[in-house]
Amino acid sequence: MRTLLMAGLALLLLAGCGDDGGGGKAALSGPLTFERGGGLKGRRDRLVVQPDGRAELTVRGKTKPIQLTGAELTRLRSDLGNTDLGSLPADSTSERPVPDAFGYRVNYGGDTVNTDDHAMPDELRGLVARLGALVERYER
Amino acid sequence: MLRTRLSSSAGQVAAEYVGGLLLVAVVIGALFGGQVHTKIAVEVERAICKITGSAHCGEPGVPQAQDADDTPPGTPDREVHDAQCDNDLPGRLLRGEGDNPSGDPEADAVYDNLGQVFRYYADHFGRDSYDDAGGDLIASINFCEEPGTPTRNAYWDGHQMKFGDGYASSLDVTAHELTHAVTERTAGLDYSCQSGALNESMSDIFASNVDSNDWEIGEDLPGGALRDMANPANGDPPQPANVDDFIEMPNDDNPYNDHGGVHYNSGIPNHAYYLMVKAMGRDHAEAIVYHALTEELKPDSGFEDFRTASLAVAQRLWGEDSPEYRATNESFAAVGLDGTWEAPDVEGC
Repeated sequence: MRTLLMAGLALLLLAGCGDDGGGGKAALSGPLTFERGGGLKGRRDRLVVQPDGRAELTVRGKTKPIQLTGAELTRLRSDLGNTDLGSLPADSTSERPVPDAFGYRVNYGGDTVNTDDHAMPDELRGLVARLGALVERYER
Repeated sequence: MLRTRLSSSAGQVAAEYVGGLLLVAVVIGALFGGQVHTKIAVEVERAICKITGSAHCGEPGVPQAQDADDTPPGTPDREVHDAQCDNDLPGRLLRGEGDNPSGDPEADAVYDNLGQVFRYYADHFGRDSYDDAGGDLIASINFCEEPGTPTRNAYWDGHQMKFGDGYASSLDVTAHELTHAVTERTAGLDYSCQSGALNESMSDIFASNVDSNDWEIGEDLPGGALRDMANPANGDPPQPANVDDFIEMPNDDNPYNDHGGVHYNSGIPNHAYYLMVKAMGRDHAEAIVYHALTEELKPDSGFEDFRTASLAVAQRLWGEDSPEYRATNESFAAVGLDGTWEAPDVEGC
């Protein structure tokens, strides 16, 4: 009996590890816009992702259409589901700009959060890192 | 009856066991999923900082007091840490001042680069570290903003340098970041609009002085050079070289606009400096800019203020009839700064 209970508990814990979390709005039911500026380079990146994975990436002033893979879309949905943008301060930036740090803006479902590397709420870091990595993957 | 009691007892034990396991899982999940451990460490550090009497304890963008106690003046005090792709800084100490090489190529490169930048400021201007008070030079390599996701960037955060993987071994990048610290402690140029572009330009100018083999900035980075002071249009992104091509980007709350284009319009003073070096040699040009930065410029100084400050220094050091004064005047005029340029009216600037 104890073994069965332990197995059941393990299954429950494993199931919990893979879900989309909670607290956020339904993950990616509308366009998600990510903007990033600054850094040592002075980047200006914009990524707009649609619910079906179609996206538009603007880097170095040029815009091109891209298509996220199923795995990328799943991970993005998961990160978005774990982030309740509406609960975060709309202005989560440093009191004074930090030279060469990145600034970010995330807009989804009517909620917008501005932040930067130095003052970013922990709950936003996963989503911002995911979006930044997508920009870097598709910019080439 | 006995069987029922035994069964009931076993069920109770199992339930307690399950409950205990769940509690542990929740606590571990909260600690590591929510990075509570990081927050606890940060808060403890701030509490200690406040108890010890510092004015600013861990507030973003506010210069931190540095421990400048254990090396004699004129000697660097370096620490290179491995952030291990985490944001819990400074990370594991790889090499402290005077230690043997760590064996990690990036750590040893940044250790040497920090020493070179320190020596440059000490030998050329008698400056004792970025704060002129022997401030410790702390760097973390392999830094990741989000644990596990490589960061492609480097910056000075008011307390230490953070280098993403592949960004630490570039000499001019280290000089660029450390010069942000010098600017922060001297002119304090506001990081937006023209003053922000000047702030960026100061970092490029002194990076080009330390790594003086070429006029590119960041040529050793994984993605190649970021800027070219000799020909700013070759930069990535391209930059203007003349105020006629000044880029009007608003200083609004959208990070996409780079605080009013600080990494774009910096090409203009960058190119003026390039022309100064060509005309009078680096020794005199760098002295003019260093004294302008540390003695003349103010937080809200713009491009014309930089020209005025540079001319004032040239006059003070060599006189108004000197080749240095004339070359300074001509270099600024060549980028459109002749004392009459009026900056365009840009939102937020």
